[in-house]
Amino acid sequence: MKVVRALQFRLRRGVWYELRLYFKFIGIAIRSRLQYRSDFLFGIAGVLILNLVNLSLIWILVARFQSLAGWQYWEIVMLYGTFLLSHSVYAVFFWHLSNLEDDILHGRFDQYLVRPCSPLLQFLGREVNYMGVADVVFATSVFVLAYHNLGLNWTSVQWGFFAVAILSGTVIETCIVWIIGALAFWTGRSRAIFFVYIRFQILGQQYPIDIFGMWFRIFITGFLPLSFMNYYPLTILLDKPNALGVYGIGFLSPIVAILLLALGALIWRRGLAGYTSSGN
Amino acid sequence: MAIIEVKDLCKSFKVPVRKEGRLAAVRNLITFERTLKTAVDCVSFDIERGEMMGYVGPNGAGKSTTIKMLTGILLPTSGEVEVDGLVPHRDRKQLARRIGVVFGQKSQLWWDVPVIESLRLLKEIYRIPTRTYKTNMEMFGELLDLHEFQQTPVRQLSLGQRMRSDLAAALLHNPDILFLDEPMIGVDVVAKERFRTFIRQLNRERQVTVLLTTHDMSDIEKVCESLMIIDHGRIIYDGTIAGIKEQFAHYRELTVDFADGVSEVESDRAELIEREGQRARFRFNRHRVSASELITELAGKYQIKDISVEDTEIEEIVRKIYQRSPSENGPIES
Ligand SMILES: Nc1ncnc2c1ncn2[C@@H]1O[C@H](COP(=O)(O)OP(=O)(O)OP(=O)(O)O)[C@@H](O)[C@H]1O
Ligand SMILES: [Mg+2]
Repeated sequence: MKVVRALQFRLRRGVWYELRLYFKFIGIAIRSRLQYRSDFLFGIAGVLILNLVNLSLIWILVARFQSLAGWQYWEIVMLYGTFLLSHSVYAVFFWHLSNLEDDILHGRFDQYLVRPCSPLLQFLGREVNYMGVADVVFATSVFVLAYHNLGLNWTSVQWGFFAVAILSGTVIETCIVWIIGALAFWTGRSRAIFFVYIRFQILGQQYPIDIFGMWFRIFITGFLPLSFMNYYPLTILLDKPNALGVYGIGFLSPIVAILLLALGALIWRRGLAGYTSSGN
Repeated sequence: MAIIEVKDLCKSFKVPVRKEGRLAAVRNLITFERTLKTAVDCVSFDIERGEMMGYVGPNGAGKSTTIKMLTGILLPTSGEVEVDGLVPHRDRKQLARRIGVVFGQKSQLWWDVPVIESLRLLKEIYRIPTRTYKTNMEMFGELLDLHEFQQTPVRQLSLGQRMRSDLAAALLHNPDILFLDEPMIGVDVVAKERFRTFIRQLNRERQVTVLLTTHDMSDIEKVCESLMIIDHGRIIYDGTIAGIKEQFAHYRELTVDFADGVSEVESDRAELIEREGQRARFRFNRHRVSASELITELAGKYQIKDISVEDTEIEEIVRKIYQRSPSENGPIES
């Protein structure tokens, strides 16, 4: 009993220590970024423009066909907004996971590994990405607009579910990028895979997956579970049939997130143990 | 018990096989063939607590790879390592609190913020008590001139200034063991002297164990008591600096300028190692031949203009060892 309690104490202290450091790292990362102000402003402008273009493309498409596979314009906007909400948290804090291969290839993990704290949190704390802030603002406004135009009135339970879904979405996207990045421990580079992933993500983020064929639906549900970020949770909240025709898949979002997290942790541990540094 | 114990330690890297010839680019792309490249080949050594060990060898000999295994960065392919009673790769985080590491090529500091902020963060990471932190900062301020640039972002520092900051960062938590992998790149002569004094002082006052790799033999002579030489992944010398001099000091060199007209020269007592114009260098074993004997012999045979005798420096010894062909690279016999 005593042993268990001592262990619990150590564990809690360990987690607390790591988290506290992570926030200190983030603090330094923010101050570092603030030194390059014009980069920040251009970045924000760029993200806003990109998102506007995306939305108008959807609008053109939907205006042509009235609706896409039973989804009205504002429903699709909500699909996009929901994705963007999850994505924006990822974009602010975890964006640089997509550059993981650089640190691995250039042997930059050497310095993380000679310190007594988590190499992963040191890596994650190294950067914050301001451009994600633009995503947050944009995502929120798009979502609010869609919510009003659809005349929705969610209960607190529905809002709670929505929050869980957003969080799960962030975890799902982060983990996918994390796992792809960690592949570089074996292959040296993984950016090509990352670009392939981005292509799929673009499809999944803005269209209801009903418009695709069965194979692709299964793929984006089971193999690259991006549709758990926005599509499946929204079929529940908007009371729509989902593309696989199985009721309640949307409730699985947090479970998918946890599974991906576990898979990521496993791959990460393996990869880091086989880390080969660099020759110079 | 030695603080660092290494036994039959090996590390090999898997590297892709590079194809050559026709369609090499395409064939390189589709091949998954790998070969093993041995960087550290079955080395064994002990380092005692408080010892200052120099670790030298030509480029690519395996020095950095050894250090990465000692610090827990790399998992050894085979063999055993123990550092301060810990197995580095397994007990990495625990070990990290007891060691300080400087890789001269890569800074460990936060690039965009002032040096002092990096140091403050390290205080948190290592949970350094405020008292210790203050004492150390004072000491570094004095000995490394940290005051001068501690408010400057790391990216704006000169190479030598960055090196000094990195050394301070590695020492802030009072490590028992210090791994220095080429820590003196770009450091000017004055700072270099200070560096050396500083490391010696740390060793004297705090019994810090030091493992230092460098390509500057005078670093080794000024700082270390012992020396390991590694070549092609194998340790070919492990002993004191005095010892290596003892072994090799029996070779001395005689440089002779012969008068014009002297063409072929040779000696029964010494080996001719270099001939350039009228100047020739001989190497001889001082236990067998005295310099005066050799000079008498040569003067008897040829007309001589000038003569000088030199003792072999460490640098010279090491260079000779590097230059031997790999097949000769067994351990050095005296
Ligand atoms: N990450 C790596 N992947 C593949 N090969 C490597 C790697 N790191 C080192 N090597 C190889 O292992 C050998 C030893 O390298 P190492 O960096 O230990 O040499 P070194 O003695 O530190 O040399 P230097 O004096 O140039 O720093 C070299 O041949 C190098 O090419
Ligand atoms: Mg090296």
